[in-house]
Amino acid sequence: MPGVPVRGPWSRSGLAREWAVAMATSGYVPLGHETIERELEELVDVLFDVLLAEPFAPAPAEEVGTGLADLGFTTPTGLSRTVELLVRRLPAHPELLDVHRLPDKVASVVGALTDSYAFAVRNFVFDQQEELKRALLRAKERAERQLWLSEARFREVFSGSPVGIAITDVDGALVETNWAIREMLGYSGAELAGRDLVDLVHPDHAAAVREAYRSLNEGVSGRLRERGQLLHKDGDPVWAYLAASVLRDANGAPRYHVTMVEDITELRLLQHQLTRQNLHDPLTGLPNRQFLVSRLTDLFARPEPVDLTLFLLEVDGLAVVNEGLGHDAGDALLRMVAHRLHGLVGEDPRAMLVRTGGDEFAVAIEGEPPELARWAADINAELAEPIYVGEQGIAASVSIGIVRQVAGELVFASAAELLRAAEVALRRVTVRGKRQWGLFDPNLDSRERARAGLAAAMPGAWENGELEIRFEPAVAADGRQPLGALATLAWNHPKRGLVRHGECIALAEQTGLSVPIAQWVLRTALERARQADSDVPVAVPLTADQAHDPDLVGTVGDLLAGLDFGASRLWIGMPVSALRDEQGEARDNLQVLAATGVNTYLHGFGLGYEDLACMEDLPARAVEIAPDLVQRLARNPGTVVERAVRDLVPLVREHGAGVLVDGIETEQQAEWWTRLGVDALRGPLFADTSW
Amino acid sequence: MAKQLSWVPEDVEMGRPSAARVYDYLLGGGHNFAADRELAERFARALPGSRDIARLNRAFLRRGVLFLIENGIRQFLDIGSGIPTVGNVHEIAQAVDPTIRVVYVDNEPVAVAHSQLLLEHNDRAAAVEADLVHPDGVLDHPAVHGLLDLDQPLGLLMVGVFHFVPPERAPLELLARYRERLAPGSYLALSHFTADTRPAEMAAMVEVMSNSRDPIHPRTRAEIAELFTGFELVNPGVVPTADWHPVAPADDVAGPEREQIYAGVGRKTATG
Ligand SMILES: C[S@@+](CC[C@H](N)C(=O)[O-])C[C@H]1O[C@@H](n2cnc3c(N)ncnc32)[C@H](O)[C@@H]1O
Repeated sequence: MPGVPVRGPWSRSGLAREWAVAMATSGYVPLGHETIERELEELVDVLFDVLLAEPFAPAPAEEVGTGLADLGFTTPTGLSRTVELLVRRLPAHPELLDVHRLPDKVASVVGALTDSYAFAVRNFVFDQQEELKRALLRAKERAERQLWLSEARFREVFSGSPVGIAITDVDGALVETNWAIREMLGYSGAELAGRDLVDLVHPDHAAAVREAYRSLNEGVSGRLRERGQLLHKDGDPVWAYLAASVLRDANGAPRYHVTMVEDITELRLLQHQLTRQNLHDPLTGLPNRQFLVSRLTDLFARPEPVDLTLFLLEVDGLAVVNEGLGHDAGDALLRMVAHRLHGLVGEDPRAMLVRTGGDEFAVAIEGEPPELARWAADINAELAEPIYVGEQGIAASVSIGIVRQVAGELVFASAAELLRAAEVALRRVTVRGKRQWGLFDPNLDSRERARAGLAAAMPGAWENGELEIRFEPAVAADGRQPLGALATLAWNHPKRGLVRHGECIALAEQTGLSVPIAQWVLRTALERARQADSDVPVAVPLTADQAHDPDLVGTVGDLLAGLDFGASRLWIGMPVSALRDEQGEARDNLQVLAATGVNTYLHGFGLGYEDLACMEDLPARAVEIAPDLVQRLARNPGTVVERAVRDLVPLVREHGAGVLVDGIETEQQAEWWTRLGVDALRGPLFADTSW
Repeated sequence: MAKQLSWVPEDVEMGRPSAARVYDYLLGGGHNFAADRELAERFARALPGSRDIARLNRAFLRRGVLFLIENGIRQFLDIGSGIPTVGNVHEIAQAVDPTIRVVYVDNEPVAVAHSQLLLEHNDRAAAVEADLVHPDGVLDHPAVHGLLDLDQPLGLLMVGVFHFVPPERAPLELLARYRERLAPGSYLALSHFTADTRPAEMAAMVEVMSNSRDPIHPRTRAEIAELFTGFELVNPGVVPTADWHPVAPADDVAGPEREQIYAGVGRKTATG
């Protein structure tokens, strides 16, 4: 009778014991042997219940196949041993002797078990493959991030270093040079690219330096340290320390050399008490930078600080003249500038005029300074009179950076600092255009340094997890229910407090981190969105750099596939400014993304016809009105701009694109835009919306 | 950015087959790629019985961990932890006592990322990427400091990993440094490939692995026992995995494959 327990090897527990031994060696299962036996005994009971039930239905035996897989038995051996055992034992089992057509029933039961086992194991493997893919993605992402971080750090050092840095390929051809080395040798980056580094070495030293690089390549020595003479573009010798090391590729083959070049000319000059001749610039006959430095150093050596004004003048557009009319024309122009400057200040005993570099002159005036604006205007008036090179009349203008040391107010510690300040002032004005002048502003300088400091700290902050992603809601204009979540960046700076999205992305662009950060933002946003219960759409606004990233489509595609995230749930925003540019990859990126089912929208959208043209040409599904437009309308209602906006919204909507408005701060603004018929709103007003 | 020179050499080659995934495959896991499976099949052809060898090793790991817990160990440093397949140390240990802490160390980035994904919500276990051959780098890793207290006895697991250390990395000195930094009462559980039996098959397997990212260096029983210098070996000493405190029928097999990996557990004495 069913239910009456039979003892011995022919009991149910005997069968379970036998089964456990067969299974335990079929693969590794991290369970104690008693546990395995107990679990299998339950499965044996299921089998007996099925076989004894009237009417017969094999389906419940599927539970046994699934149960085995759940216990961790997933190997083919596990299945074959199970089938073998059951087919041998069940048809002859004393408890089952009365079962009608037993062999047929055992066959059906084993069939159901096999099916479900195979199915469960298949899913088990799929899950593990999925997990492994995620791990691979994560490891790759981390490796890429480390690569980027070290690269970004290198960039920082490279461009900011006062030491000259040259990267050359193994044949010695210059691949990249930094600002300091160009300055030191008087060449532009373009002039240096591709040249043989050893060509820049004084012929007396060239052979030795070349030899040193060769032994570096061959691994004879790991580092190169040489003192030698380089040649300035104008032929002047530049004494320098060269320190070079090799960058090798994954296989250990030399790939690049990084050479640090430190100018020790000043040291050298002192050592050798060089004659006046070497302190002069052969082209213009003016004293050169070294002369200026040594004179300033003398001035700084005096016990009392002196009042001093230093003007650094850069000839605007010399490169254009050199390129368009030839170097002879450029040289003539420089001589003309030198001559006229000399005419202006040459007679003044308190003034010193020097040529400090390729297109740069300096005037230092001791004591009471001239009136700056007048002085700058006079100079440019003087230079405006063209000179003739052949048929061609050329006029010059200069931009001027000025720094004043006024005893008791702003005193610099050294000649080098004074020069650096003048350099800073000059670089700041040249950004504004030609013929500009500006005074060194120590506050601006410290602000910029603070900002530069912040930018420099960003890679580290990212690594330390100080950067985070915040979701900002976009709500329906009508009804205000949340429509989607926008991923924005925030930096919890331990000292500065919260650095917001706008500044974060500006800093990221500055450090070259913007593309890897965008990838991280995308990934994290999608991962978090996937974990959320709801399936609200997620929007990720990109910067111009990010929109132009040639890998963007691949990155997005990999993420969507890797995370199994529906393309239609993602919105990628691109700045219209990037899309106006027909050159970059942004337009292609947007088109391909749209074709793969990702939603795209244009942000920073405004009133320009080009913005409308972008909308018309590209398959973006929505546009986002820029916050500055919102603010402007709030400040100046009833203007022409307002009328244009009233026309713009219906135009966009008629075209079939949605309109989102960014930067809504007040209820009033929200209502105004809602009346215009826009679709969605976001901004500080909705900060507390939850979903 | 686009045209800037990439100066950092690219050695990020995640696709190469790894010992971690070969082992997972031999254990019947699905955490492996085609290239790993291919290598694993060659491995198994060279060394018949590989699936059992892997299984016996994994079973030793489990018994070793349970033994250390019985002897009062409440924190584990599992070096060369591999892919979190089945029966991971934290699962075994935390099932006995949920307060037990575990740090996994591996030098294979995908295995580490995998472990980290698995441990995302476990604040008593962590996984770090580090190399066994830098003992101080491992022991001073912030995650190790965060979870483990080196002033208290600890279970140092080097199961199925030390044969990846080539002779030129000074194995004895490496272990001496680990031992020095552990508190008295700490345990070392170690298992290791040997060519003492079936040398021809072993040589063939070594050959198969020689061009992978994880070449294997089998050692003799005497060499393996020497690794326990400064530790007091618990009974029965350094023995085939199957003979180390077997409890279930599955802990042993009949064939020669039972002798391919030696295992042992030692305790650091106060003077060690
Ligand atoms: C076969 S698995 C062992 C897994 C687990 N300990 C076990 O015995 O079940 C070996 C692991 O050691 C890792 N490994 C190899 N050399 C290593 C090293 N020098 N440092 C850290 N891990 C290493 C491999 O990546 C692999 O994951």
